[in-house]
Amino acid sequence: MSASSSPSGPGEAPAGHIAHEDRTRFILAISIAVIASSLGDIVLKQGMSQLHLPPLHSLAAAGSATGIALANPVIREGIGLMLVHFAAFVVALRLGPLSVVVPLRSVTYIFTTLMAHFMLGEQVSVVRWIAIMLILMGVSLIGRSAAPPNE
Amino acid sequence: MNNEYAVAMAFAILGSVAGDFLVKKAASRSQPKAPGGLMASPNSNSSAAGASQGISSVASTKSFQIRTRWLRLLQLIAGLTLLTLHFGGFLIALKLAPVTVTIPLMSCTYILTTMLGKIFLHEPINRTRWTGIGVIIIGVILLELSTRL
Repeated sequence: MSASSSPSGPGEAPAGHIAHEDRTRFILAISIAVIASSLGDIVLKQGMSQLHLPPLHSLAAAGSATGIALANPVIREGIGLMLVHFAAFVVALRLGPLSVVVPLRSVTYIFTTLMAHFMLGEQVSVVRWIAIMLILMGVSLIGRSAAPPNE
Repeated sequence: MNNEYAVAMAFAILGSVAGDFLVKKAASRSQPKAPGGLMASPNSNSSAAGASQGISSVASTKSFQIRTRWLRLLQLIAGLTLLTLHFGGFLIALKLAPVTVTIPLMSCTYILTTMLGKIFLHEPINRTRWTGIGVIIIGVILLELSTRL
């Protein structure tokens, strides 16, 4: 960790500055976070598609449906991937500035959509692509607006 | 968008926003000041990183600390419960609609987070943020249209 003082607080990388030796680890953490997140979403979707759930007419039925889902091994793989994503994300937050990490989450929208198309065979129309691009840009804008002013 | 999907997404989105908020409150050492405070979640649909926001100067009386500790425990339990509801709704939503619809739709959590930050934490919302929210709203409308065309 760099020794420079900054208003970011303990445990966060100084604003806009990544120590040289941390840079590789940061890129690795970010990459793992993005891939694990997208892959996790895909696996969860696949698992849920395979399940035959009772008709969800009440909240109690929804609760038991969730219980059934959690017992499924594919769902558990998906949860595992989400945990990997969580861990990598926390590491990335410690190693790099917030203003880089948050917009990177927009990338997962593209990854997830591409994976869904090629791995799950989902049809993604042009309109939907445009919608996803807009949402992605919006999330990036929000992420940039959250950056500390001294970046 | 049928009723069951709408309910599932409501749980997923609201659960995520409220759950993240409570868990962060339970874990924080002082009031979060950075507008990025609620943005630093690993995912728009997973639990909070709980990063502490600096050194606090909390009063040191013992009863205050005990009360605070119980309050934080309550917040943590409530937050985790909400996050569980979020995940359940998310799973069901994943079954009911294509993942290319559900995942982008989860970006609505950013809109809610911003609104909550403004109302409860009195965070100022700069123009960039408003633009981002507007763009997301247009995207979500288009997304809804893409499911009908």
